[in-house]
Amino acid sequence: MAGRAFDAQVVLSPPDSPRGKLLSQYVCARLTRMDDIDAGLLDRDWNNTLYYFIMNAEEHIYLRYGGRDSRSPDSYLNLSSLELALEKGLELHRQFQRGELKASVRAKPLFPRDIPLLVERTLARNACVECHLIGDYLNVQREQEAKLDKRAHMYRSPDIRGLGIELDVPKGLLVKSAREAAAAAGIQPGDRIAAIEGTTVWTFGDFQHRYDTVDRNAKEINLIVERNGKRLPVSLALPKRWWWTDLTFRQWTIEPRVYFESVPLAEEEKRALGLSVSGGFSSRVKHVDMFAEMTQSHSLRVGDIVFAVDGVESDEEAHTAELFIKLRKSAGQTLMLEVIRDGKRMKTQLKTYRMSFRK
Amino acid sequence: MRRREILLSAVLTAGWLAAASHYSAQSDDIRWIDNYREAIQEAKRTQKPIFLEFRCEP
Repeated sequence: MAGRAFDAQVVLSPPDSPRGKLLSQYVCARLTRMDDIDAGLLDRDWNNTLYYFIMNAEEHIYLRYGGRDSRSPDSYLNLSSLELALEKGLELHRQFQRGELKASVRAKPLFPRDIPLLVERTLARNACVECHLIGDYLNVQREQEAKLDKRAHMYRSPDIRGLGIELDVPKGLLVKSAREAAAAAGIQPGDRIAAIEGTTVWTFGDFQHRYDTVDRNAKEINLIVERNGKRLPVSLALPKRWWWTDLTFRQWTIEPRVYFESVPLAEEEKRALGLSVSGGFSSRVKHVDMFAEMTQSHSLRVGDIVFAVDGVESDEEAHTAELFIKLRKSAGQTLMLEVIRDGKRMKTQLKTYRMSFRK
Repeated sequence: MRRREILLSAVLTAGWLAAASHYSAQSDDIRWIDNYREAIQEAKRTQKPIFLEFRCEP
């Protein structure tokens, strides 16, 4: 439903319900077009179909609500946690009015009219400036200007579950379970995440937005968690490729579509086949999408081992051939793959596909 | 299949709009503004905070 049910439940909140009583203390606005909105101030992951800000007339943002992951647009939308956010927003507003909150430094303005591709392909045609188009055209522009950092701009909103943190969603940033990196850092179920990299966070939306700004070369992040009324600092070692997420729902124009999935070979198998071990991205094809045949982009088969792309066998970031292509190649490029099929080495071409929105 | 999805989506959207307009007419307490500048002005006038929703409706 892409947030439609949640949207309706919020907008149609009965005035005498707890949520309705909270909302009645706000000026409520619901916008469906971004035409004249400052996307710099109200920046977010533009692939959210539903997103909320709690702010004031001076455009000071108290908190954000929303955020999604690759599982669903609704993963972090919950009426209970929304009520918590609404209560916190009122409290922060009172603090601001009493002069107890410092006004935030306003982000650099960025209006849709400042994005040439967006003007050409939506505003000039009187078409809707949809949120996801802002993200897509910004990235196309970055690509044209050689300013695109795919790990940050294409892999937006790293998944908190990649740190081993599962949240108790109705309760906001309360940790339900902590595994892997989070457990190793000492995070426990029942902790509430209160800050990330020095920024106070009240909601998952706050957390995800700040987490997304972490340098993709970072090795650790610093959190503050609340436990039994105390605030505890936690340094969390970031796992390899912590920034990686499933891009399927995003439909980026800049993403080279490869129409296959592969899994990395184990080191022993790489050695046995005489392939690059350290940093080698040789990987076994586990799935071939039907679009490969439809677009005649490649002739890979399940079980093929792809061990080189355009003569390159290793990469400091990519552990599979498809990730190497997505990170290092441009959409629409034709590449030469080196493959082992039925024990024999061969070469085969792959033409990556470029998605397009109204282009 | 695609036609059915489009039809279902249209029916749901129409239903939502009908319900929303009906509800707005019934409720004096929660008014939803569809203009950002107007929301800012209203917040200045009332000294209330703003709850701002962005809904992408493809």
